[in-house]
Amino acid sequence: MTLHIVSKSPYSSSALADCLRTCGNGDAIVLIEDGVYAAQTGSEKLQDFAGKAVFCLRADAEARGVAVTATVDEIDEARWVALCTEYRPIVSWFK
Amino acid sequence: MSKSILALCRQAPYGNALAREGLEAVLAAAAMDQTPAVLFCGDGVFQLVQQSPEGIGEKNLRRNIQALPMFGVETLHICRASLQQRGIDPVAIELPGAEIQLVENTTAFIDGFDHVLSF
Repeated sequence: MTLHIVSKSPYSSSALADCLRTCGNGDAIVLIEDGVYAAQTGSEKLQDFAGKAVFCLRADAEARGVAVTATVDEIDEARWVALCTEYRPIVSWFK
Repeated sequence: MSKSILALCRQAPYGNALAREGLEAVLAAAAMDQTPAVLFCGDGVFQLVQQSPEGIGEKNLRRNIQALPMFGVETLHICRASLQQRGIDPVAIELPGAEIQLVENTTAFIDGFDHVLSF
């Protein structure tokens, strides 16, 4: 199962859309840096996450004032590292 | 034990440096006996169409991609949906010496690798 790491805002980049196109059942998504904007409560991007395991780096969300929706799991760096060991391969979507 | 590597190429050829950097990374890895598989998807499929970039002072990337079979990358994997979305005929991206394999399910394809390099 693949771990997808998305680091760009869904409003300025196709990174998240491209990621979602290849994200299968059992895969997980971690939103980091500007990627966390997709997790904002009330964001229209949230519907694309239905049925998917989505995580969001808490420090990046807090830094940007993003109120993370309840269905996205806020994690710290240690959990992120743990996820990186649980999934294979890891795909970065950074543009 | 050697790990399987996939180069995921999703950028158009001349708007930024990533497309060429991806190709260079693939060639470098192949030269070090770590031949990766290559998947073109999204705008990355634009790297494969016939192009004449002389007018913008760039080198022809497709011509460089044609070197891949000589480095042991004989099969190029291409996302069929990306081609279709962009109106590109699979016949138009054929490369001499390389086998084009259209990928229907990129999810399952990517899942088969140990490491993925994104470009």
